[in-house]
Amino acid sequence: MKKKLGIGLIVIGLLIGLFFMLNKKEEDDKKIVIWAYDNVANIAEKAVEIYKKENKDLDYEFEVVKIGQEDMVEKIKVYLSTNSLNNLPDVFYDEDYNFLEFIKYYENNFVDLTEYVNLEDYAIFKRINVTYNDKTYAIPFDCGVGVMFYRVDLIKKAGYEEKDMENLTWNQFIEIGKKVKKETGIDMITVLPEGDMEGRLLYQSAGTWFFDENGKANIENNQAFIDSFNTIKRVLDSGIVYKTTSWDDIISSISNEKIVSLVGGSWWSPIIESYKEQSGKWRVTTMPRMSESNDYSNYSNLGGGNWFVINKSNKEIAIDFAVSTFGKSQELIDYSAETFAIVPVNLNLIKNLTVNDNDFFGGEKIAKKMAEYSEYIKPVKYGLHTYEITYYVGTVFQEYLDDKLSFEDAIKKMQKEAEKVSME
Amino acid sequence: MLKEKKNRKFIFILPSILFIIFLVYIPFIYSLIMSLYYGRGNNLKFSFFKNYSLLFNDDVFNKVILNSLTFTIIIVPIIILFSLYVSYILLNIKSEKTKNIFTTLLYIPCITSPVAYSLFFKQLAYNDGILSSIFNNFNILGNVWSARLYISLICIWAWSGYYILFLFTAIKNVDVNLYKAAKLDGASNFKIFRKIVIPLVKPVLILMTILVIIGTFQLFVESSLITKGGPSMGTYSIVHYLYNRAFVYVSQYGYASALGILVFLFCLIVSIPFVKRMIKDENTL
Repeated sequence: MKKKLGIGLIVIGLLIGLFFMLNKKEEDDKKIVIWAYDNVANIAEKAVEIYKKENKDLDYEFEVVKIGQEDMVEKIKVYLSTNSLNNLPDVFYDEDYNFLEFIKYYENNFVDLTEYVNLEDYAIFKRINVTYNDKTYAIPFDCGVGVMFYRVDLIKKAGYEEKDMENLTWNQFIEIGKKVKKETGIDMITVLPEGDMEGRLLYQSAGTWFFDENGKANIENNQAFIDSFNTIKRVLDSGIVYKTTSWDDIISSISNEKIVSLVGGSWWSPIIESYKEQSGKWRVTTMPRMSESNDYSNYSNLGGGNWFVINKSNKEIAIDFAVSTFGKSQELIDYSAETFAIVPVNLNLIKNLTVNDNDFFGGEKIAKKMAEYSEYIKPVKYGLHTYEITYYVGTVFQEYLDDKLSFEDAIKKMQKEAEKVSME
Repeated sequence: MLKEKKNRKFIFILPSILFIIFLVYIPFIYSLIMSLYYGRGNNLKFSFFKNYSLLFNDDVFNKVILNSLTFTIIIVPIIILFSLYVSYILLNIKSEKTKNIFTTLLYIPCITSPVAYSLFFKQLAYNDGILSSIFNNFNILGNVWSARLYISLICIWAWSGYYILFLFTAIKNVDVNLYKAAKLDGASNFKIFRKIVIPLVKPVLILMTILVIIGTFQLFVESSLITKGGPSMGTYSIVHYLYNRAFVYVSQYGYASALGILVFLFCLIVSIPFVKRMIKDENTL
């Protein structure tokens, strides 16, 4: 019987061994794997096409994996923390907010791109968010410049012209909104509960962030923050807001013509454009600026990301591919701006950007226009913890809106949490 | 000979034991050890119970515990009463065919992907969705209590089929002669249900209660997809918080592990009296 038991154990052992063997990838695979989400995955496919065209003799296979962002970040974090580099892609795209987390804790797993990326080619707000300890660890790719999309047909009904919508302050915006609502019955804008997206747009438009350059909590005694909250509150109280609870709600408010304007990242434009029946009715201009100070700007950033190269066996090819396409290819940038309204951040490429007139937005070259706005975005260092503190600040802000907290207490609570998070 | 038989049994259960050891016990012990490490990313330091002491001073943790308790209070009694009621009705259907059709229909939500139905229910509750137009443009997901109720109802809808099947089988196994005897003695349907059916299916009811409580404490997909934990963290669940701490925020695997261990301990503590009761009941039967 002991013999049988022994054989049984050997068989099970062999099966387990086989399982692990099958799971182990060949290390010297001649394959470059690229991970990206949303439209950027399509752009990565185009990049592969361009790179292959220019390197016909290259004996490498390229694979673009389109993956949800949350899913991707989760996988990357797990593989980095368990040091299983084989499971990681060679190149991946992720947003600015996560940059420092990857590099601070897993610096050795990323390729130092300092010698391949000329930071002078990029605006400062992008430069400072791809460098750590004076080394460049990502190729800046795009930004989500904050803009205002608005319905020209509706504002005209209230007697306004396109030029009246340019370089507005939030106070002027509210006045226009009231008049437009009176004439058309349609709300001027939509704000998500807790105002988290709007908040981030406003903070950066004033050149401030939850944490200062040294990573210290920067909410209490920060006038720009206080003005941001007051601005959002003023907009909410003005009676021109269509209340939504999620992004999907915003999308349906566009399709059902429930809002006159949308203040948000440039990446809204392909979504708006998908409602073909509204062609010609929309325009793009700068977002409103906070009225309280002349230092506040009409420019901000929400979203946007960079390309990372993982320190793996195929890194030489991966670097060459990523730098020559995402970093330098005019063809790729033109394609992504034209097709997906991706706003590039390489100043040289912006200068030569060729895009067609966009009839949907009144025949304007909106991709170029938005790219030009991006040059004025105030630099802020996002540091760590953006999502964690955004969620918390949003919740406390909502408590203030619901009259559960006084303004002072709310600000104090936010500061306390930000301090706690930054010290952990 | 007897010993040989015992060994043979051991061989047959060995694969599943190995499976459980590798996929349950080893990860559990690993996360127990992890929970003693404090820090973010790979910057972890052994610091005994620091994560646990931090957890008890964490506002968000208190909030998510309170949310989970609220969900439990709403979901557990409704799901049990509803399942009992429906399974009793099912039993009273005379035609076997109709009975099977209804059982299958009730079970379908259980085999539907939680992601699929969550997205579906999310769409129903949109600003311009059907529900909003029925409730006079009331924004269901914009209010803490309506959002909690909405998610609870979805969970009840999704999970009850499983428990109905449980109870239905248990009630079916009750000796029919007991009903007949009670009927002859002039007992009403309600009395039969209360005095005969419920006591006889009590072990199943206890098991159900444990399973629903544990299920509610592990609520994740529904609340994270439909409301993302909002509004004002009103539907933020423990597991959602754990997930955020481990994978969305700057990773705190130690903290998240401590959270997981606390949830486990809570479920264990809740289960013990029920299990004891169940064993006692079985022994007396």
